[in-house]
Amino acid sequence: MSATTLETLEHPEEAQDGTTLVVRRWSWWARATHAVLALSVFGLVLTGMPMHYADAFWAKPLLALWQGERGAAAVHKLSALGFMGSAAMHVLGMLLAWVTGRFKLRSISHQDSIVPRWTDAKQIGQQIRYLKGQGPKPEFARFTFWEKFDYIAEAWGLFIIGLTGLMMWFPGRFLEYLPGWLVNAARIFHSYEAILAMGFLFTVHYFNTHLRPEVFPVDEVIFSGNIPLHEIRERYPGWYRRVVGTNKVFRARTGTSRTALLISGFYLSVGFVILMLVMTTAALEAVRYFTWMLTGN
Amino acid sequence: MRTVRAPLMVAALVAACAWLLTPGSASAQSSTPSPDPMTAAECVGCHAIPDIVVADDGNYRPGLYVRPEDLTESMHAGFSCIDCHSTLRATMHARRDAARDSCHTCHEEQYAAYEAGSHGSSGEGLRPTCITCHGSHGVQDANTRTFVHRASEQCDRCHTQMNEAFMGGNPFGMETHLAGVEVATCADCHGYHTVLPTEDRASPVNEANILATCRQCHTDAPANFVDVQMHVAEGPIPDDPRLRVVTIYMLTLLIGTFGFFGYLTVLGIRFEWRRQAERARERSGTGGVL
Repeated sequence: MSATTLETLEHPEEAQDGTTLVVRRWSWWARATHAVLALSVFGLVLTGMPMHYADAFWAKPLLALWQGERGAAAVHKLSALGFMGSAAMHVLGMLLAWVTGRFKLRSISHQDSIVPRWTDAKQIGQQIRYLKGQGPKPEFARFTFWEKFDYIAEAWGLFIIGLTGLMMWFPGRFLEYLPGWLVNAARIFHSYEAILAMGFLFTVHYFNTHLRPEVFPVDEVIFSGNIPLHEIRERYPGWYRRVVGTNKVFRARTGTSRTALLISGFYLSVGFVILMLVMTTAALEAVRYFTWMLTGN
Repeated sequence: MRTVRAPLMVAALVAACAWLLTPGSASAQSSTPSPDPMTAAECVGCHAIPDIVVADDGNYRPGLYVRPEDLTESMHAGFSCIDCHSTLRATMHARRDAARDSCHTCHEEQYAAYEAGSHGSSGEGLRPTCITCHGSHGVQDANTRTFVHRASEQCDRCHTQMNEAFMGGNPFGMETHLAGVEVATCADCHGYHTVLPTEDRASPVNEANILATCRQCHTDAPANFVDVQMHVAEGPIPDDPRLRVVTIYMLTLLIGTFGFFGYLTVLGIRFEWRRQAERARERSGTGGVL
């Protein structure tokens, strides 16, 4: 688009034609990958959690939604394919971008890469001091350390949960090469990793995206792929300095679409309900375990 | 279905005599049981009264009540009560009933198998009998997966710890817990009727037979398959040291992640709260700096 003038930078919010200065944050392929991932995660959570907490009062009604435990197991496995599919989409996308030259390997060491750097470690301390009112806001680049954690944890979690899931799905295949106790370990890894991932997504991830007061109830960036320039200035000062005035800034219509609102509303509310149910049950279980550890019965 | 008809009274008397002469024998197995003088209709006249009391002391005995639906929906529907309650006579109500010893009258083979296992009469302490698993009045077809699961629930009455460990800790315990009837449960591996200790070479879970037992379902099971633990101790920390390491690692990761991000979130909320308050103060105090 046309080069941005200083004036539009100072008053970036609204132009006469209802467009705003934006930067592309997520490509359409990344958004499609995220959509597949989000849908799969919900399929997995809504079938896996009632299987793990089979004794909880909400387990049977939730399983009835899938026509019982066999239906739930089928949906769980189908969602698992989607889950692994999203990982494949991500790798494939990067591979294609690399082949076509749009993605360069050396860019992973760039400041605006999602790959963690030493700066992120320093910014953790800076952010804590900032939130306590003891220091300036850290100069975040395109991705903050908690956003990078989202990405790394998701990649690592997907690998662990996918691998352990496959071990339980095809035990015969795996046990040709591996010792038997690993199947038991897989069950433990799978359960805890699922609770960790679900807990993280439905709290930290939501709080940092759709639940921010400025954008609640929908952070539009995951639907349109565009992030307004004024938001970059506030949230990612480092990235702002590098991106402003370049041809990466363009004008686009912003605003929340009805579809985005519906999708986000569905994910937020369903996620919140299942999180509350699981947390209640997990808390009760923890109390039971502590009693058991202290009294022995 | 058998009913007593008045013209058959003679035949009934003959049969009753024959039955009296051969107490506890397997005579009933060879042919269809002949009509008995005491019919179910006669017995349930009193025993279908939910709050049945004993004439002598006027006390309610819950064990004396028989749900009529159990009888009509039973595999044994149409049986006479004394086919099983064989030591009971109309005038001998006070005599101790031994209905559970009657099963072998017809099911000789199954009874012999049961006797051969550790649950048989040579065993010590409290032991399950036929009706522990099969039920009594409402006895159902045992050749269904639903029955196998329901019967295996009875194992829990004595083998509490084993059962808990199986339900909670094994790789498909979750599904078993949900009574997914296709999933293997106690009887599928440990056998039934002839239940033997694991050390016994004839036990299906003895190391000599265990792989074959796994392969009943997991046809492709490699030799390592038998090392998967099917009973993992219930509780947060498993007994197996390797599984203990895995659990502690995951718990640390869980607590660490939520602790750290919980801390950041609390700080963030406090920060946001203060900023809003400050803005409100500014607006009211200066009439707008902007």
